[in-house]
Amino acid sequence: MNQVLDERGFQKIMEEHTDYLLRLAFLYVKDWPAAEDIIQDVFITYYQKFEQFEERSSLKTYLSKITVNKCKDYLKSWRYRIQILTTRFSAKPKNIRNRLVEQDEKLELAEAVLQLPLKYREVIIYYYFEEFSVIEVSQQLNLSENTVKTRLRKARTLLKDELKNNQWEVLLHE
Amino acid sequence: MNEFKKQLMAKIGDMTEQKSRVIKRVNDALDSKPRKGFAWGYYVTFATFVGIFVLGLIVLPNLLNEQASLTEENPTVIDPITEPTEENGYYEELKQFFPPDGTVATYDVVSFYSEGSIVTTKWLSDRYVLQISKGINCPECIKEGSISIYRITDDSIELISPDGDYRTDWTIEELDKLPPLSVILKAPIKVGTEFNGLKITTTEEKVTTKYGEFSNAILVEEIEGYERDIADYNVIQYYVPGYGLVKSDITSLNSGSTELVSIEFGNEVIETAEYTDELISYFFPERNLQYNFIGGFEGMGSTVHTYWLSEQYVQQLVGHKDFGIAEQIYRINGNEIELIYSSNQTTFKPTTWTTEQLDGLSKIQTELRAPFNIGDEYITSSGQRWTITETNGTVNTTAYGEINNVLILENINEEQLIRSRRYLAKGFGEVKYELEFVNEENGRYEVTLTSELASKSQIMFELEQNEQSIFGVYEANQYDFTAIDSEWELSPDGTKRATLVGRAKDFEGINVLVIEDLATKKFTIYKLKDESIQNTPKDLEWIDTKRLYVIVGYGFGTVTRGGSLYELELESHSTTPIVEYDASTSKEEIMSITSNGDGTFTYEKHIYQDDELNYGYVEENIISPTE
Repeated sequence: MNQVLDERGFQKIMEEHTDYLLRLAFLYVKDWPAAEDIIQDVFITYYQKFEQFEERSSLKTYLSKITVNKCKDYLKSWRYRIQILTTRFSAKPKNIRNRLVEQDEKLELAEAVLQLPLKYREVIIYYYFEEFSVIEVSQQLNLSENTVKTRLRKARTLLKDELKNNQWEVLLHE
Repeated sequence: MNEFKKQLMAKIGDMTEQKSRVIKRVNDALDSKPRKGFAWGYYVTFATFVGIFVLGLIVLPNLLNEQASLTEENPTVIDPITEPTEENGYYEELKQFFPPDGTVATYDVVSFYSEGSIVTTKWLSDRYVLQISKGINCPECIKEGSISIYRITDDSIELISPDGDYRTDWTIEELDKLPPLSVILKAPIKVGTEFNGLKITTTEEKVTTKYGEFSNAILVEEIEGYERDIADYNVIQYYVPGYGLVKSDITSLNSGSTELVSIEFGNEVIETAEYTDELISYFFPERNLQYNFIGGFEGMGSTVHTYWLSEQYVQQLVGHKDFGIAEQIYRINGNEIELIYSSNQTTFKPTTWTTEQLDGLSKIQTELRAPFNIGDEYITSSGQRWTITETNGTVNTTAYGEINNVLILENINEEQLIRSRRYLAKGFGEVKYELEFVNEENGRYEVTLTSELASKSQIMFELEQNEQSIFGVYEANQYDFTAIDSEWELSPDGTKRATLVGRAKDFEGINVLVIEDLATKKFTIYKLKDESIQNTPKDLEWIDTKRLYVIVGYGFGTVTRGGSLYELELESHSTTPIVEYDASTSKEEIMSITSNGDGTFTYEKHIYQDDELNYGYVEENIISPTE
């Protein structure tokens, strides 16, 4: 077991995992400031409690799990409520270049995914974005395979309703 | 890469900034000796607490009056604490923590993303408040702003807007169904009230903001030892009755604060039921009055007669010498005024409508909707688009000077380069109309036509006139009797009654004779045709059901004590002189006439003995009317 987390090692871990974790957090909380806070907190938790990490799973899986748990806590949290209550600007992660890309591509599918209720959004995130198998998704979320499949089906139905038909057809044929 | 991933990656975009910020913050936090359980740092300040509640509604007029001087000075102290009522609990107390409809407040917020926020408040009903918050200089922020909707219950303010829903067009039925997400503030507003791990700790705190200094802030703090999902996170909020949340301080790894910088109050907040009154006061002329406009097309002016058919239906006759008369009927439907009928008429005599007929008319267009917001649009049946450009404007009129509390609607016809504006003033109704054309030489809009309210008078319409009569005759459905000059006198059969109106008793001025038909509730008005001689009816007495004696004399001064005696016949409206008085030749004038109850009448005649009309005496005579 890794009892001593050296400084350089920790910097490397952050360097490697921040992008991925930030994206994951954003897809859950749909808010950049919150996502940044969560990932910051994830790393600090990890730094303080790394000894609890048992290396039974990959570090990536471990950090993702902490991230997802913290995201869910956040969504239930008082801060989140207060934030809605006040100024949730829902800052978008776009620089100018990306905005132009978005205008060109019309990210309707992405928008629709972000509008899904959490329990459907999350299976889509794992299955399509993380490209996990159904079994992996079920392990990650502590759900039965059937539940994952049902939710995926329902999520697709919701998305299909949300999108124009032709666009949906394009997706199916990819 | 699948399409889902491709789009989501594109949506997320470049994260270099976020990444380096996170790493830096983690390192800073660890360097600064992390406290156990440290969390939720800096950004809390970003989004948090640009809360909005504000404004005591009851005290609003004061606030508005003092607004100009408030920025630099200490705001007014308001005691927010009210007793709960049986009916609405603490509703009245809680609703003070939202500013009135249309209020725009700016807050200073520490944030990487935004330099502050602008919060606009809209009252959806007396129980629901919607707030839109936009970042200042924040290219990353959603352009339309984020939406929060609150429900004011009898004992708390709840946040109810669902996450990620940016709709602003909720119906009350939909809102009623939304579950509370959290409690924002709880009544009673006094020390010790707890909610959400927070507690009101004082109600008389002094707080300074960029906007000004308050001495009566309600301080809300964390309950010590409260277990939160965010560790080591502390917040202090200052609420001021009449202003709402004016400042918040956040104690965390990093701390920051949010504070009120400026606030521009909107309209006075009104109850849903009061929307109707509000609408009426802006849209319709004062009751029982005819509005006379000058200017307008060909400068011929126009006249507006408004009749209240019921509390729901209003009939309007708008007359212009060239265009004729238009009859319009409006329905007051909750917070809307709808036009439901429009046609041309030949006279000002209002058509009669039954409630069933009115109920059966369908909406042609919406004329006005409360509450009023800048940008509200009304599209007429002919496709004209009217937009509210001002909710608290002023307008100048020749006759009434500067009028405040004016709603300004504008219609721009870009094809024809015509711009028109309507000015609806609270308590007046429409007071002005302007039409602008583009001046082809300089390309600017210039006012080419103005129609404005010049006077108000009793609403009446002319009946067929009798050439032989000294009186012009009019009919009215309603009449204002504030300047009544004599008691009502009932006709012998009790079906009609008559009075003189215009000058109060014993004072100078001109009266009209008004006869009310008690069965039809209609008024017939007799007005002397020749206004130049300044005569007035001074006294009256019923002869029988169809005839009256009327004394008509000079309306001003005390030299004359009476005048001529006429017999007025009510069916043909003819007048017959009985005793004529001519100031230049006659020294006799009739002062009064009274029925003797036996078909004869006694009149008092004043006779001057000298040419200077200084000395005289009164004699009584008896007359019998012709059969």
